[in-house]
Amino acid sequence: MIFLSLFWEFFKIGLFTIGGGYAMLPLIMQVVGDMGWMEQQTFINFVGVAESTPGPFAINIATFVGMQTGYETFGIWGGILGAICATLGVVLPSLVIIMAIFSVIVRFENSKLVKGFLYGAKPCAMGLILSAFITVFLSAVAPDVNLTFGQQSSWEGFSWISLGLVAFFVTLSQIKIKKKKIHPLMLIALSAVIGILLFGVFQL
Amino acid sequence: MKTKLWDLFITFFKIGLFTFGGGYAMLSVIERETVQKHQWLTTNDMMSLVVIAESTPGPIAVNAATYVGFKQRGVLGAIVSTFALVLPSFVIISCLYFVIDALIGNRWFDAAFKGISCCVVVLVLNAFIKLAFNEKQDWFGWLAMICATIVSLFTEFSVVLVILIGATIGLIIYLVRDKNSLPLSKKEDEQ
Repeated sequence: MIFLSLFWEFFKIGLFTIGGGYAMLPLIMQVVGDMGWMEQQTFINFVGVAESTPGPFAINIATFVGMQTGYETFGIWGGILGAICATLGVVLPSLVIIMAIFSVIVRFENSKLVKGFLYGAKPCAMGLILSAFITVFLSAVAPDVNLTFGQQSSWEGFSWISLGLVAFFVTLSQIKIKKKKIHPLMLIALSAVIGILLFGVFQL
Repeated sequence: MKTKLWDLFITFFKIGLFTFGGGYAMLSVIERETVQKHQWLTTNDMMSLVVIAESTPGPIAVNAATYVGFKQRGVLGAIVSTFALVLPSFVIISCLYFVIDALIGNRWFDAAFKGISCCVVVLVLNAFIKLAFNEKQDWFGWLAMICATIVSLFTEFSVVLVILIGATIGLIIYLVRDKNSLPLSKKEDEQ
């Protein structure tokens, strides 16, 4: 049954990948290929779209794969059901695991073990955010740079305009209006408009 | 006062609808909404959330929604928040499915995304600054942070292992200090 296997495969992906949507990507690609759900090229094309549409990356991918798979055999309602199964599958493990961990942490909040664990884990988590910042910064400003050891890398795609835009948003995000900083969602909306103007209308 | 399920729904629906660029960019929006606006979390809670979200399976944003929902309203809250976070993606992708070929390589779509990706950089940076400079870190904190950054930037080492190794070393240092009753642990006991 196609809907059950959509649910089950995405449940496994949700259960076994740690570190967010991008960590899931190779796994989803393999499953999609192994199960014969869609052409690899269709999938790769969609990854670009999933990155540039709102919402968690992993959810976008699960919905798309579910939709495509169900639609091919059962039409529109099959597509929607497939999307529901895949999304539910990818979300369910997080839901259960987080609730379990939260209950444990709250109960043992003052134990030396939990405190000591967080004492070491927190700075590492901050380090991962810092490295995520450097990665997204490079992919916006110089998309061809790859920092992973031993991978090909070049500064050819470097763009002064993107760098300027980043600097502009850094400044804008610090400005306070009525003692409040501009809401991040406002910044995103503004950045889409500026993007269309700079790269679409003026084709910089 | 009990948090209304409706408030959880609206907040995470908004986060799901307007956030681009995956979990790390969402942290900035989640911080603004849950710490500053609704005060469901303290900045310290937010840091625990990041640790848990990063070191457990599943999308980071889903983990965060579940955590906040569960903290405020138990199992029902967790389900409502997660559902609300996922709903916009689900609807948008289902609709886009039929026009996807028109979107791939579309000039306007690409231009908007290029602008957004410059903004996402700033959101991730702000999330980092807000969280990392929230508490005073000692030498071990800074060292662990720099090591974790370097390892995850330049190698393909698993994220969980980075956090687990850091946590283990931290735990040992913490317990040793605690045994010798250095000022750090004494102060925390008094609180």
